[in-house]
Amino acid sequence: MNWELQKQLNPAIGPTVDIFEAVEWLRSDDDGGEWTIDSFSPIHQLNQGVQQAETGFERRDAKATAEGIHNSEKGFLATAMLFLGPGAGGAEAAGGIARPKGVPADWVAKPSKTGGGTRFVDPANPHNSVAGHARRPQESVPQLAATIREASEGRAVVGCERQRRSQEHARSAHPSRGLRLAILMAMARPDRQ
Amino acid sequence: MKAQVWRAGFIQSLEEASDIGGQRAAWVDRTYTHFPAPAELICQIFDDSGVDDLLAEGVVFSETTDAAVRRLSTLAAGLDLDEEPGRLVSSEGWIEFAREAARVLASVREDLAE
Repeated sequence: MNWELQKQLNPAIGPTVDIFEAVEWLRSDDDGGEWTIDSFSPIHQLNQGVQQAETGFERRDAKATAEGIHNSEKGFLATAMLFLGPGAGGAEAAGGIARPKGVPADWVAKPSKTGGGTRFVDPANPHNSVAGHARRPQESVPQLAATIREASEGRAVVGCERQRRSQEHARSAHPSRGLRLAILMAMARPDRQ
Repeated sequence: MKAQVWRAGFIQSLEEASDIGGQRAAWVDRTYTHFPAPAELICQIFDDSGVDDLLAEGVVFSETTDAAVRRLSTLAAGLDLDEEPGRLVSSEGWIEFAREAARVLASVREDLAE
């Protein structure tokens, strides 16, 4: 993949150059999975990965669990990128969270109820939203710069806690990969931009 | 049918928000792991449901229930969600919030039963 070209084609990912370099680094030491970040919907990927990981754990199916963790990590990486665009801190990002790529332009930005975050709400259906929140001090993954939450028909389909649990599973099941992911998250923190 | 989906999640979240015993078990004693954190609860009740947006547009349940939801929303806005959950659950603000959540829950159920 031509990262320079990718950055030129998509200005929104310009400030996330660290992530792109880091993903390349991650790919160079990966154990077989595909680490492409331009060929999937990050939110969908994250959701799918978390679900797969949880289902795998419920069934005690090691393969399903490993695949779920892998997919959730991919989605997680992409999610981190979503929130580091040039809009962060701009007029519409009341909580310092930019409009994620893929969220329609007419979805209305509003502050989240928990503070420090921004919800992008479907004007045709207030039960559909995508929200980004800055990490809270007591959250269990200190490297996490931001979390994403997607609600459909009033229920979270990608939630803060499920994402965090998946991240914890990833770290405990694959310590080396978990460490690398933690480093990536540290690199992705907005205060490094 | 679709319109009822959000209400089911809303009611479930209110049940958890009013369950001080469950909150203590999860956040203080840590004997119950399948329970949302305080910020998660607030996200579920308000952000996911979009109930604040609905209230701004008009009547959602009954006028009495809507007024109670607005009070709950005001109480939620005053909570310090950065506080450690074990401390938060013992704070006056949270206890008042949990009581109001119980009132909203009863009121919503009454409206839906009619």
